[in-house]
Amino acid sequence: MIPALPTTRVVVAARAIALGLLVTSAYAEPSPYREPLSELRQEMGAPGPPPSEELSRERTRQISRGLRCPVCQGSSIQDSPVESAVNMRRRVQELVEAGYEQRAIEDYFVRRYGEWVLLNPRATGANWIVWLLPALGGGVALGGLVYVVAQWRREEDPVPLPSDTGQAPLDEFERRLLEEIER
Amino acid sequence: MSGRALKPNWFILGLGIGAVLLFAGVMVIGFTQDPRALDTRVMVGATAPDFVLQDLDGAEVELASLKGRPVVINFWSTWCQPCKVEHPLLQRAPALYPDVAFVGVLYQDKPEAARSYLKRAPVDYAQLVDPAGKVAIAYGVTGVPETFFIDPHGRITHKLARALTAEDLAENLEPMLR
Amino acid sequence: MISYTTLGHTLVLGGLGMAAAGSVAGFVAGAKHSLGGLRWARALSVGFALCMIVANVVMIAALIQHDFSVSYVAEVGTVHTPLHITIVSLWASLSGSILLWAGVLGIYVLGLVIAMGERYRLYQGYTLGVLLAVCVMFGLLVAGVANPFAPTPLAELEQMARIYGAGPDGMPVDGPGPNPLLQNHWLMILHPPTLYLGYVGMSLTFAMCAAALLAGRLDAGWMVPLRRAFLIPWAFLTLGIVLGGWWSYAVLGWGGYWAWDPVENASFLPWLTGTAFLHSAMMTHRRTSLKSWTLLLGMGTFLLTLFGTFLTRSGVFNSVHAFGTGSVGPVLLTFIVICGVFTVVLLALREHRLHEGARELPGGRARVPRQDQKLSPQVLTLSHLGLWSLLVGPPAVAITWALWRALPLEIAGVTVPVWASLLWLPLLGLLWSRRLLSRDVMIVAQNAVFTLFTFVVFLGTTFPILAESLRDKKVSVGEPFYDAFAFPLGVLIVWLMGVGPMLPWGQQSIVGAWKRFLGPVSFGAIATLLVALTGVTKPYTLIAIFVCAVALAANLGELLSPLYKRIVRSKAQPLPATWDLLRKGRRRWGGHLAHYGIILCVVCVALSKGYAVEQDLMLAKGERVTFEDYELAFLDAKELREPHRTRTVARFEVFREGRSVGIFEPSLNMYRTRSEGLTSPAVRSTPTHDLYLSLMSVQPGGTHASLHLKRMPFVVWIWLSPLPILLGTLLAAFPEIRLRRRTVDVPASGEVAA
Repeated sequence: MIPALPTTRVVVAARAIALGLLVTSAYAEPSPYREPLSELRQEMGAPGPPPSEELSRERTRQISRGLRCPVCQGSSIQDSPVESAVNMRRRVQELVEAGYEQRAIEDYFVRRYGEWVLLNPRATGANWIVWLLPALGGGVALGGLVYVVAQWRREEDPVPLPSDTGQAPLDEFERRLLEEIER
Repeated sequence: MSGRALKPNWFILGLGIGAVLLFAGVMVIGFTQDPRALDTRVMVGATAPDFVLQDLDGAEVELASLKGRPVVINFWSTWCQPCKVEHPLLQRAPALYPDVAFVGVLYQDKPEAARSYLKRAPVDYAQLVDPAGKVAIAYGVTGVPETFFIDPHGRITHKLARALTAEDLAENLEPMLR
Repeated sequence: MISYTTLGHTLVLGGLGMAAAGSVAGFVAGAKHSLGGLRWARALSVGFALCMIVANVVMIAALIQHDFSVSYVAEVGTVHTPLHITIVSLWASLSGSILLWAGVLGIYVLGLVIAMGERYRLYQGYTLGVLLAVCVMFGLLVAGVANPFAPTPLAELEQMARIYGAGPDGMPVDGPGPNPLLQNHWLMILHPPTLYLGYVGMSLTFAMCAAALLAGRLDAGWMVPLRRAFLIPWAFLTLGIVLGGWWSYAVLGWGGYWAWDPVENASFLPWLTGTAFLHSAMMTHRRTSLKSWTLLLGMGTFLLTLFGTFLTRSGVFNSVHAFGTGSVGPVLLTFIVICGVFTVVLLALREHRLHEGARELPGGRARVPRQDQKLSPQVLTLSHLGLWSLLVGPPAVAITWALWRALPLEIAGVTVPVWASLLWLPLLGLLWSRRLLSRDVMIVAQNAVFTLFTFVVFLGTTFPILAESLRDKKVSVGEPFYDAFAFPLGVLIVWLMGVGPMLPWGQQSIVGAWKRFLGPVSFGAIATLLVALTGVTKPYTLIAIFVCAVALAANLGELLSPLYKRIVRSKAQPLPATWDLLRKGRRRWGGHLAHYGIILCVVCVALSKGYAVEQDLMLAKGERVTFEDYELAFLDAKELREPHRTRTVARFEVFREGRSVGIFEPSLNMYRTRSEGLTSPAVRSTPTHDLYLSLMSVQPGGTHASLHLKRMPFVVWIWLSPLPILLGTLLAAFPEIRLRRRTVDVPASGEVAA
C-alpha cells in the first residue's frame, strides 16, 4: 500500500512529471490513480500516433488557450494559475501525449463541462450568429464606405457653409442677442 | 423645436428603435439567467467514468465494483461552506438508504484536513483522495459540493451543484430502489 | 449637530431638485431663445454641481470619522485602514461609486458652465437641458436604489456591535472594511476614478451633440467646444483602460494585461466609438453628410458608457470584476433605453436639418492636377493602379492570412478566407477614382473599421446571453474569438493611421502621392527586415511591426517635413520655427503624438504577446535553476496569518549573468471563504523585458515551491504608451482656451474654425 500523500504534493509531483520538468527523486512516486485505458478508448476512439515532445508541448498550449477555467470564469486554463486549471492543463497534456487530436480533446471536455468550456464558440446552431454577423458587419461597413465616398463624387469640391467657418451670424435671434450684449 | 412640420427619417427611426428594443430584450432575458450557474445537465445520461482511488486509510476503491447498486458520489472539501451544511445529512444518509453505495471524493484539499474534520464529524462511507483532480475532471466538477447519482447500471441520472437536501436524496434514489 | 445621513440626503435631494428644475429651464431657454431661462439653467447647474460635490465631501468626512450610522460606512468602513485607504473606500462599493459618479458629473457640469460662459447661446440652453436630465437620472440612483446616506438599520448596527464590540454610546467600534482588492495595490486607487472621469465626461458630449440636433444645426463654432469637452474625458478613458490592464498584470497573477473580459470590453467599447468620433469630427465642416454620423458617434459613446456601467453593476455578465448586484441593473437598463430612444428619435427628426443649405456643386470629371499633366493617360492609370494596390494590398494580404488562420468556418466547402478576400474586390472597383487618394476617404475608412470593431466586441460580449436563450446552452466567447478579429482590425487601424496622415485633404496628385507614400513604406520594409534579422520571425509580430513602422514614419514625416522645409529651405531659426509651428498646429501635433502612443502600445503588445516564454518549475529549498537568461534560487517560504487571509510568501533570489538582481517574493493568498488561492506575483521590470514570477504552491514545511515563470519583452512600454496620448490631448485641448480668450473676443456662438 502506498501511503496517502498530501494532495498538493502529489498534484505538483504528478504535474511536474507530466511536464517533464525538474523533479527531485523524492517526488517521482507513481500516481495511485489508475485509469482504465480501455474506457478512454471506448469514449474517444483510438488515438493517433503520439506526437514529439516539442509538438505536444505546443499543442497542449494551443488547446489550453481555448479551454475556459471553471473557477476563474473568464480566463483560459493556460492563463490561470489556480489549481483546477493546472489539473486540467495536465489532463490536456496527457491526452495530447496519448495521441489525440485537438477536436477530440475539446470534445472530451465539452462532454464533461458543456460547450461553455470552449472560449472560441463552435460554429454550430445559433452560434453561427456570432461568426456570421461580424462578416455581415464587415460587408455593411465596406458598403457604407463605398456609398459615402460615391456620394462625394456629386459634391465635387465641398464648399463649407458660411456658418461653418463662423463668418456669418447664425440667425436673427443670435444677432439680436449679440446686439443686446454689446449695447 | 420650432413650428416646422416634423418629417422623420423613417429609416433611422425604424433601424434605431429596432436596435434599442433588441438590445433591451436581450438584456431583460439576461436578468433571468445566472451567469455563474453552470449547466448541471451535461453529464446526465452518460456512463459514469470508472476510477480506482485510495481512501483516506489507503484502501483501494473501484467504481466498477459497486455496479448493481445505486451510487451517490459526493465531491466535497473542508474549506467549502455549503459542504458543511450538507454534512449532517451525509452522516445520516447511509443508514437511511442501506442499499445505496455512498462515496465521498475529496476535492482540492489536504487529506490531513479531511481526516481531522471527519474525526469530529465522522461519516460511514469511504472518502477517496483524488490526486491531481483526475476524477473531478472526468466528472466535470466545477466546484464543491457536487453530487452525482448513478443508477445500478452505472449511468449518471442526476447531477447536483449545490448542498444536498433530504428531498434530493429521496427524489433521486427512491425510483432506483423501487 | 446635524447627522451625516440627514446632511448627505438633503444635499442629494437638493441637487436632484435643482437638476430637474434646471433641465426644464434649459429646454425652455433653448426652445424659446430666452436669455433669462438660460441664466436660470446655468445657476441651477452650478447648484447641482455644488450639492453633489459637497455630498461627496460629507461622505468622506463620515468615512474618516467612522460614523457607522451611515449605511455606506457600515458597509465598507473600518478603523484599521490608513487614512488614504479610508478616503478611497468611497469607491470600494456600489453605492459609494455611484455617489462619486454624481460628484464627478458635478465637477464636469461646473467646468462646462464656466468654460462656456454666456457664449454659444444657440446651443447652451439645450445642452444644459439634456445634461441636467442625465444628472437627474444619476441623482435618482443616488437618492433611491443606491443611496449611500441611508441610515444603517438598527438590527445591522446591533449585529456589528456584537461582532466588533460596542462603544459607550452603543455604536459599533469597527466595521468590515473595504474590498481587499482595493488595499492590495496602489493602482486600484487610481484606476477606478480615472475610468469614471472618462465615463462621466461623455455625458457632456451626449448633451452637446443632442443640443446640435435640437437646434437643428452644427457649425464649426460649436465643434470647437464639443471637441474640447470630448478630448478631456477621452484622455482619461484611454489612461483608465491602460491602468486597468496594468492593475490586472500587477495584481491578478496570470501574467497578462488584457483578457477580453466583459468589464474590460465595457471600457474599450466607448473608447472605440469615441476615437471614431474624434476623427469624423475633423470632417464635419468639409463634408456635411458626415454631420449626423458624427453626432450619432458622440451620443453612442455616451450610451456605451452607460452600457459599461450596466455591465459592471447589473450582474447580467460573467466577470471577475462585476461587483454587486441588486436593483441597480433594471434602473440602469431603463436609463439606457430612454437615452437610446431619445438619440434615435432626435436623429430621425432632425438629421435633415443639419444638411439644409449645403451647397452641392454639379458633378463632373475632376481636373487632372498640374503635377500629373505631364504623364500620359496610360502612365497615369498605371500609377493609380500601382499605388492603390500598394495601399490596399498589405492589409488585404495580412487580413486574409490572419482570417484563414483563425476562423473555424467553412461554407459549402469553401473556406472563409476566400470570402474574406472577395470583400476586397469592391474596393478595387473604385480604383479609378482619383478621389480615393485623400485623407477624407481614409478617415471614413477609419470610422468604418472602428465601428465594425465596436460591433464585434459588443456582439461577443452580449452573445452568451442570446445563445443561452436560443440554444438553452451556456456558451463562452473568449480570447481566441476576439483575437481572431482584433488582429486584422488592428492591422487595418494602424495602416490607416499611417496612410491617412500621408495623404492631404481633398484631391491628391498621383505624383505627389507616390512621393509621400514611398518614404514611409520603404522605412517600414527596412525596419521590418532589420527586426527580422534580430530573430523575430513570427508572421503576426512582423506584420504588426511593419504597419507600425510605416505609421510611425508617416506621422513623423508629416510632423517634421514642414519644419524641415522652414529650417533648411527657408533658413529659419530652428527654435522659433518649431515654436511657431507648434503654436499654429496644436491639434495636428496633438494628433500625431496620440498616434505615437498607439503605435508604441501596438508594437509592445505584439512583441510581448508573440515572444513571451513561460515555464512551470518546481524548486527544492536552496535549489538553483535556469530559466532563459535568468537563474533562480528558492531561499525559503513562510506563512503569514492575517485576520481575513493566510499569505504564503516564498522568497527567490534571481540572478542574471551570474550576478544577483534582487530577491523576489511572490505570494499565495488564501482567503477564508474562497476555494482558490489568489496569487500575488512578483515582477522584475526592465526596459527590454519583464520577468514575471507567480507562485503556484508551496509544500508543507516550505521544502519545495512551484512557480509559473514568464518572460515577456517590452511590457513596461505599454504602461507608458498613454503618456504621448495625454500630452497630445493637452496640446490639442488646453492652449486653445487661452489663445481663444486673447485673440477672438467676439462673443458669438459661431467661432472661427480652429
